[in-house]
Amino acid sequence: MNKEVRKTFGWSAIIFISLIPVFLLFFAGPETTDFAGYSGITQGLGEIAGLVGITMFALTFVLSTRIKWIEDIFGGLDKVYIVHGILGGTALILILSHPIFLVLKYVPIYLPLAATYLLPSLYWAVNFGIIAVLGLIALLFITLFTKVKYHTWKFTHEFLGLVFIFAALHAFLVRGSISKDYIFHGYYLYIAVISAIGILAFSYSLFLKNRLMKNAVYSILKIEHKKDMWTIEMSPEHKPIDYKSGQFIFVRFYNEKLSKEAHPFSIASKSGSKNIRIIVKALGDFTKDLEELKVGDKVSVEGPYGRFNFKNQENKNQVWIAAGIGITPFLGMVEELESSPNFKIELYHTAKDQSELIGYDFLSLLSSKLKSFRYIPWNSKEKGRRIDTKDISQVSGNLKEKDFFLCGPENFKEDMIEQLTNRGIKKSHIHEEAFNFR
Amino acid sequence: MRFKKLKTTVAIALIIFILVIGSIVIIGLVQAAKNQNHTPQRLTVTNVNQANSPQVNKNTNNVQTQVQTQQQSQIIFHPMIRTMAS
Repeated sequence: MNKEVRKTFGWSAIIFISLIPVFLLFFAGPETTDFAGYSGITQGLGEIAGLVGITMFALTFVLSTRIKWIEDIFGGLDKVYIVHGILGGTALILILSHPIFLVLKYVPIYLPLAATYLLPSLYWAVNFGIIAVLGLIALLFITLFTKVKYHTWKFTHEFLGLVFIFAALHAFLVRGSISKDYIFHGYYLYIAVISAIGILAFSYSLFLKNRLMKNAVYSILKIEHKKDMWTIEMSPEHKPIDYKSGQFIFVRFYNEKLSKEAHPFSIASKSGSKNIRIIVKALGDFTKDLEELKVGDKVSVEGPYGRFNFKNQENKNQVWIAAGIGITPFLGMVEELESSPNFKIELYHTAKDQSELIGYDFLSLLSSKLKSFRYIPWNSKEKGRRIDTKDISQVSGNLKEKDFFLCGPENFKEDMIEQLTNRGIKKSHIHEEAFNFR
Repeated sequence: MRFKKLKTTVAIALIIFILVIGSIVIIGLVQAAKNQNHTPQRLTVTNVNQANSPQVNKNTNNVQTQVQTQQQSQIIFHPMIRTMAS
């Protein structure tokens, strides 16, 4: 099964599971006449929005378990987190519309009645729902619209499990104590299954994942610090992890001055090497503290994750485009080109200035040595602008015959994907590394 | 920026949610407060004798009891139950 088919299957499965309450409502629900009229329609839409929302909410926890077969379906953990984000946002929108549709039923009757409906009451079944909605708004607002520190965000995000428990309690209790209306046969069974899936997946991620996953222990062999970039080479204490270049790992440094939180970094060394090299740019709060690292510090490595490797594609005529620190996964891949003569690679690296052209000397040397590899550095400061597809087509010729690998800041990638698709390149021929998980 | 479209959609949904829910709660509570203030004023007492008469006292007590019952029912009963009961 190819990448696109797997991805379509994954999305179809998510949409189908999310829509199960709609099918149940139609096939095991009340007579259609119950949904007739203004009151019936608003009631029905409110119930559907709430049930589909809580189903999607439960699925977001399943997607964040980092289970390998889910990663295989969506083509890498970075892609799984994109699906997780889209699903979480959609769940929020549906859960927000749940009380809106339900309250619309009361608006034409008597507005004070509708107001009372939305406020906390003596009925905990309703109050659990209010707590869940407010909690979800607060936590997803932090995720989507604020720039808090990574470990603060991660800490707040873990409370979504608690919010889900409140939502499940609301769904369980509201029918018995308040609404008393008949939704569909097997309603309680459905809610029990969805609640169990969500709570088990969340509990696994929070309490069991780190214990069950055998993280490899490495120690720092070498640290090079240049401007705001650190090149860190690590050697395994025992068995090394089996990785491919272009993949990424979660790294936790055991240094008392650094956060114990695991952070994702692209691997910059070639497939199957005993040692792992990562290159880190001081972009966030954590990476700025890396100057505290010492040779010999222990490191816990989880992974590898991701499917960003040039050998995964049949087309051997490839263009690699990196921006800034996005060059790191390509540095490991180019080391394998000597043993992969069938590939024809053109690597474009755009950076703000000469100092940010990481690996310039090594890549220039390799370019002069290998016929199958061409290195095209792009100094934006000198050129006065960022590279675009017109520049690339002038060097690489017909772009439609090639596969594209992109890595760099999100806005750069989005811009590049838009330009490439405008030039008729199919999205299935564009492969990107999404290392920004938030 | 990752999730650009999603962020915009979520932001719009949040604004709609705050506007709809906020206006229903505020207007509803204001209306409820107005209704509570208006109901007792329907009693017009023209003179002290009338006000002290057993009939007026009975009427006043009835209205007060009605208002209290209404206030209590708003606190105790959830609208879904009241709609079903009606």
